[in-house]
Amino acid sequence: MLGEFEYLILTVAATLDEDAYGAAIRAQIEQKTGRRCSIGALYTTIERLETKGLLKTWMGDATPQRGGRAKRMVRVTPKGTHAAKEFYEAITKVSIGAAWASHRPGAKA
Amino acid sequence: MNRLIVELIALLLPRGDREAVLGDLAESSASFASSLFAILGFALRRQFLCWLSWRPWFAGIALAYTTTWLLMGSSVDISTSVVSWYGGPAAWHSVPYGLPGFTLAVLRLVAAAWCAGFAAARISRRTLWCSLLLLLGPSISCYKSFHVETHFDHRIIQLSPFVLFLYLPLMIFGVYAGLHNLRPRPWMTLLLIVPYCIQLVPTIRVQSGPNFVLWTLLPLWPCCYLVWLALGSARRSKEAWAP
Repeated sequence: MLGEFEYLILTVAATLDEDAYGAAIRAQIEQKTGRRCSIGALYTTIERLETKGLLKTWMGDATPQRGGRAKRMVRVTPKGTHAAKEFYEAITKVSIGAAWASHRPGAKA
Repeated sequence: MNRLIVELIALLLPRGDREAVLGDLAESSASFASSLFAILGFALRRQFLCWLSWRPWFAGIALAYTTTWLLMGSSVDISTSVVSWYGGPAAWHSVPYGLPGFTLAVLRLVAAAWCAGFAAARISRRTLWCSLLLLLGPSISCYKSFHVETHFDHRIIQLSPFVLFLYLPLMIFGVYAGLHNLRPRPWMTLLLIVPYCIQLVPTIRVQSGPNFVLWTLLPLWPCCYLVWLALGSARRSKEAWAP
């Protein structure tokens, strides 16, 4: 099963689709979770996910705003999509009935 | 100046990661301090994660405690022979008698140093710096107290302590081959290690009695690893060519 941070990366990468690369994923995670995401944590996790076959990475084009440096592009593999879906379903099932779950019976939408 | 420092520190990262990280930092207009922390944090994290595996421990400790002593011994043997022969024409009459032993010692050093460098680079590429440091450690510690003399024609010739590092250039070739995933062909591997094994086995048998198998296998492990890789690669290419 995935870890929490692994799931975040997979989900953000899947959402960004063609525009998924290191800096964009990091910015999205920081914006959506309100938590700081270090470059080290991001890239080591991306590498781990790639080793597990859940992500595919390659070097993209260099752009002037990046000082002529290439982007490390990321794409979620079908295996990665399956793992993220499994994680999401498990979290959703486990959360049913919990006080903080918005869709528990009788909870306000 | 700050950019130069950041780029220098970024050399701690492999090329692909360096490019991506420096680009990300430029894109997010990160300050000098946060860029430094980000790069150092990444480099440290990567190193820490490497050490969670058995590979760097094995590569470092096994090389340092087995192969180094053999390499230093062979380096000193070869240097002693060369220095004796360098004594002058009077010494040259002994060359034909010492030449077979000298040739075997050179072959042994070549095989041991090449295999050690190759094994260190192949087993744990990212912690190669540490494996090499552990491997060189005994030579560095022996450097100060090194005192070996050879007698020739009533003269005493003292060996330079640098002879302890004679194996180093040969080992660098092995490291290069390991880093570039080059593998010698099986016949070349056998050519490299057979003279080494032939010399080593009887020597250790005489010195260590019944435990000779263990004591032979210990310093030989980089060679066994090389044979295992060469045979595996030969089997795979044979399967690929099979109809």
